[in-house]
Amino acid sequence: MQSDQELVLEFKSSIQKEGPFTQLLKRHQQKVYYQIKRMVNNHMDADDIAQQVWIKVWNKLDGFKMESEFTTWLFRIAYNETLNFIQKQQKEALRQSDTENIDYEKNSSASSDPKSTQIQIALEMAIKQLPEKQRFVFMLRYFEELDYEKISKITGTTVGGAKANYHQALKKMEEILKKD
Amino acid sequence: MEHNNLDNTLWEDKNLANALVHKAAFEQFEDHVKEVPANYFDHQTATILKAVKNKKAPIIKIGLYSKIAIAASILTILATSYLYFQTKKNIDPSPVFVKIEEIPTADLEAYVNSNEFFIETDLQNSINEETAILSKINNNNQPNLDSNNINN
Repeated sequence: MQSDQELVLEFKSSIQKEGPFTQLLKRHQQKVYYQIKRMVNNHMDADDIAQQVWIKVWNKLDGFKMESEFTTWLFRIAYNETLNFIQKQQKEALRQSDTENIDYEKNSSASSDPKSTQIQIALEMAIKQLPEKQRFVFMLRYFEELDYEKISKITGTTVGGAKANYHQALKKMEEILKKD
Repeated sequence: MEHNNLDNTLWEDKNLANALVHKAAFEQFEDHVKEVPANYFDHQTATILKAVKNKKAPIIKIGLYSKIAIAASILTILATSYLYFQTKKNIDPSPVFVKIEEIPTADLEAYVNSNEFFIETDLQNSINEETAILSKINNNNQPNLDSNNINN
């Protein structure tokens, strides 16, 4: 099986780019989608953002300097696209009055799922209240089990900063859950 | 060893999260994240490939001779522009306005002295012209006087 690096080189050097791109897509699409869904907590939005991410990968892969791993670069694109989406959504929510509750109802599928437990709903609420960067760092560390070095490169921070983000996220979630 | 350290810190971080929040809640959250429609990822692959194929930019291949021709054209345009602006600069110098009070007296005197000959020539020409006109008038009047004398 070809490594990511070999597939990227093949993409850069050949005219038939679909082959290596499809392999990269199939290899990493689930991780990208799951990470985005953890952030937006909604399938439709996660699907839209994931598509944008892969279109960007297609457009920018020729310029990828391979100074980092392909997955670091890929998650960085996913991070930027997700943040852009959330910021746009927040601006839209600000424009409409009293949309915060409606927005949450729309996005929170756990609250509308009869199988969901109280603690799951409370956790979703707590996660939603975290700042985006802390949320992204926490998800990458806890669920993707990435090391802080890689997380810091993805989110454009230092290793110490990424560690601090993880622990701040935990502390905030604990406080929010205690209140509830 | 380094890998074990990484595993240890990861294990510590996850344990801390499970203790502070709730392990079951994280598991349920992740189960919900991984709930997707049937064959979703196959559909996603097809959708993305379709989108990138449609977005593909047309590739224009340029041969060596065409590259040389394009480079030569650009150089010609640049050289022509440069020469045009240089020539324009030499032909059309911008005028400099100086108040007469600011010109030193010595310069004014030097200017007058150097142009004295032309001024005198102009004056002489005017005198000559006036003299010629007077002479003509006199000449025209002379025969009339003579004819008067004859008649008398």
